[in-house]
Amino acid sequence: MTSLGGRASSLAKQGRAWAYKRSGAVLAVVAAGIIVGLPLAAIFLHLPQNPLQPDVESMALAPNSVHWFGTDGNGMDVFSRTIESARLDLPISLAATAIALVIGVPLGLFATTGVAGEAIMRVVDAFAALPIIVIAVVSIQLMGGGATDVILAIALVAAPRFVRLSRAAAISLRSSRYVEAAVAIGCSPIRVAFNHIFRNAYGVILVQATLTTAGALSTIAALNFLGVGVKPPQPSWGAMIEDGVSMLIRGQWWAVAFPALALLLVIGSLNIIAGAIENKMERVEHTR
Amino acid sequence: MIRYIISRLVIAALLLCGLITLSFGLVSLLPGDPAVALLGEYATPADVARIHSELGLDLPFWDRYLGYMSRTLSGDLGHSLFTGSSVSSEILTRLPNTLIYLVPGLALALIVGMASGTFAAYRYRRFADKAFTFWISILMAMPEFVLALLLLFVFYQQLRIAPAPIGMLSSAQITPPHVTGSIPLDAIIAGQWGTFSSILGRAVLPIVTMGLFFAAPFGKTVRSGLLQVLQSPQIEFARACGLRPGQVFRYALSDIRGSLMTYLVLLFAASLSGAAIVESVFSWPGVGGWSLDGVLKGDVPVIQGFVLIMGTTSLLGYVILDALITLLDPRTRSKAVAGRRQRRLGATPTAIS
Repeated sequence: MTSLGGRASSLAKQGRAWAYKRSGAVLAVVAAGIIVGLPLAAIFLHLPQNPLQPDVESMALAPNSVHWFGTDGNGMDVFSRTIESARLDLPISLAATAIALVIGVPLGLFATTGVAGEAIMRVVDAFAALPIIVIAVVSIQLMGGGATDVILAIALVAAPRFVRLSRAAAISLRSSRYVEAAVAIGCSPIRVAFNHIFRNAYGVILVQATLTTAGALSTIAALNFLGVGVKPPQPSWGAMIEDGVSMLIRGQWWAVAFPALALLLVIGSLNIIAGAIENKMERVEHTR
Repeated sequence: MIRYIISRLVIAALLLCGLITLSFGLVSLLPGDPAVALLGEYATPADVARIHSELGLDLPFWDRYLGYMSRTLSGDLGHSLFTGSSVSSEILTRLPNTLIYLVPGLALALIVGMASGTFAAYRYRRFADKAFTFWISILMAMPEFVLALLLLFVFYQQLRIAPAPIGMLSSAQITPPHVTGSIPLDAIIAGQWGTFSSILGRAVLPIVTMGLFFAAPFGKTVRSGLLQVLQSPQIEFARACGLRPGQVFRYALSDIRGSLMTYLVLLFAASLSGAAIVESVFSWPGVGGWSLDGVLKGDVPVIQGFVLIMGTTSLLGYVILDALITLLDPRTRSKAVAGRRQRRLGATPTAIS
């Protein structure tokens, strides 16, 4: 921390900076609340309407006191469906990120040297040259299209970035004193990789994991928007937006607007959390 | 220098072979049978066998692989299973349709991102910077199809100044005489400027969608890169010497030029996959929508052709990038530094999906 300057203006500046930092923390807590709260609400809350029940008598109603977010073209309640979507969309993207982490990080930590390492990096390069959505659609199409297939496809697409990141960390940390010392006292390569290198690089990887979850959500939404993946009537934000496009063109905005807002809110929250972790890391490095 | 570029080309050629292998493997090695995907769950064994022999799936693995490799390298990408049209000619006629909005879109992203990022960096922690960060966060959280639909709703549904999202030509317009097969090129050749400008008018919303979508991450990179450089000793020194602000900015820019160009190429590769979604929202007859259609139907040669074309295009982008960076930055001309740039590329988290 900086030494306390005598001038009042610098104190005021520090106070403002403190408030600025706090506001960031509050924002991050709210964001985390949204990420945790939405799926919990979808699972435990009693929804005002049945999200899977079409109703011929109330099709395309504007938001009112019964249907808070209005109804879609099939007469299904938009509010209930928007909440219900979190039950599937969020866990899928989290699971995909977790699998990508489990595959990508060890590969990156060990791919630093040798022929195998070079080979892994070339495969990663080739993957990076391919359009993501196409790989995802192709693999889901070929595997069948259940939730597990969506998870695997997205993990496959996201893993290369973790390989790159953890490899970069491993290369830059390997020449540091404590890693040399660990090798010298005879730690096994696995222990060095996880206990010494990974522990000092997990911040960057955590930030990337948060961003990957956000990206996975956006990819899942895009896939559902294109009609690939989870099948109706199970609601998902992407599929809801796709259903609402014809209503949107006629000026009935609510069937698209609310799922889109939910998507925006969740992806935005994840981005905010990633930013908060990054700030925290920078401050830790600063005080060191 | 020339040797360096040649070595990059050789690496690119090797990567291309890897890419062909990947596009072959994507379809052959993944679980699931393309014949079943093609015919549906209720296909008779005889039909499945017929498709197998048509696709050459009954041949041994190595025969299939080498055959695919040699055919692809000689430029034959096969024929669509559904329409029977040649994949390579289909791609050639549709590519101009995609480029006509993709290139201006990326140019728009470059201009908007560069300008706003620079402005925010110079106004660090003041109102303009905070407003910039706020809007960037919102744009970064928006998938491209949501952005496209928002623009459609505002400019087509509410304000009525944009044309309907029904493709490149309205039904009332006469298609130009067939020369190259691509409508915008034919319109230019035939001198039908009315048709061409109408195509451009319809391309405005896709251009703005692409531009805004990619301006956000690019602007963020420009801002954080410039912030770092503007606090560096050499810029402080340049200012102390009394250089004009414009000149100081030029020096600052030359420091982050390399990483910005790298990021731009990454964005270009990402934009190719975004094109598929934007085209399906605007019913635009480009490569993206066409291939997505093929993918959804399980049209194997179309999938492979698309994967190859997109992969090759971004590989080409990387080669051009490497050559440009070497031209601009003498430090990278020694071979040892080539690895360092790559490491820097992988060292920071990125949000491109």
